[in-house]
Amino acid sequence: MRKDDRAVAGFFEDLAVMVFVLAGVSLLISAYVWSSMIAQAQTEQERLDYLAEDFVTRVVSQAMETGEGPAGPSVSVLRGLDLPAVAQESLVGRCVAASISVLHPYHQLVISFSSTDPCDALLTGYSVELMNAVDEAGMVVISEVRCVVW
Amino acid sequence: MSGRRWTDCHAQLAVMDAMIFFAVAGLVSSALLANSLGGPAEPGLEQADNLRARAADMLRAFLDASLGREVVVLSEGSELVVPASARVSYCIVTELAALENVADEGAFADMNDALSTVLRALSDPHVTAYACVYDMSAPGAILALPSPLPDSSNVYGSSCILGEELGAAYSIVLLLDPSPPLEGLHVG
Repeated sequence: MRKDDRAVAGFFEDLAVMVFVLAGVSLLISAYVWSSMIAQAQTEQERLDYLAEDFVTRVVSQAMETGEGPAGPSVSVLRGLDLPAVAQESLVGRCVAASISVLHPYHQLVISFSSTDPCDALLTGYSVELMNAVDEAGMVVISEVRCVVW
Repeated sequence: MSGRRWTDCHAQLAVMDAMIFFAVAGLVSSALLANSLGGPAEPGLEQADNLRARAADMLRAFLDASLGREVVVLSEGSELVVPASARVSYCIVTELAALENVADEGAFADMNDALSTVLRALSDPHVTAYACVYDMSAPGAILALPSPLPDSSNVYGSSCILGEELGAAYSIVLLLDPSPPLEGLHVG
């Protein structure tokens, strides 16, 4: 047998080096994958929030256009709003749950709508807006348009 | 003999290089994660922006809404009935005009209670809404709903001018206090 007088121990001598290098490389790869996943989730969250806000704005503008009088639309106009049509127009391939309810002077659910298609809901976008409406008794009520998009 | 020492030094250097590479990889990874977890904006700033927008939305809806119930104002023997359909902005301006004419503040207790009810209806479970009115020509709030105002610096608000059509200039501020209300809490 030849003596290892040059201190070359082959595979076992390089093992420590290999462990450090592999650990460093895997650390870099996992950090890159993790941060890109977070960035992707943030972009998706912003997108969902924007879609929810856009949906609520469309509902409010449609109610204002349809409604009569300076005090805002009537509650019956709000009840007759076609929320599925607005959802179909602005939220293609997304699921939505939306509602319009009166907050003052009484609590009343005016209209609600929810998508029936099954969607994955890992993230949700949310938006809410208040608007005034006139009820049957001539009172200016405060109504709220809420929307969750996923 | 001397050959062994020389090559050993080289082996040690390779491990050192690998360790330095690992340390640099760790630093780069932590910087990358810290940057992505930090996000584009601080969550506190985003929440403040949302609360300010919510306050502006609530103030507009609050001023245009009806009072919701009939209110009786008793002042110096006369009785003024404010109908349930009266707008909040009209009620506030009427109260301020009466207070300017040295009316009894207690006469408007029922109206202030009705106005506070409107604000409570607007408040979320995690946010309490307050309204205060300032005379542009004098310091200090002349009307606070509900009274007293929150003693917190962590409030967000929106304001607008009120009573211009009557020749007066009042500034109404709607404040949102994100701390939970103490109402209903029983501390032993």
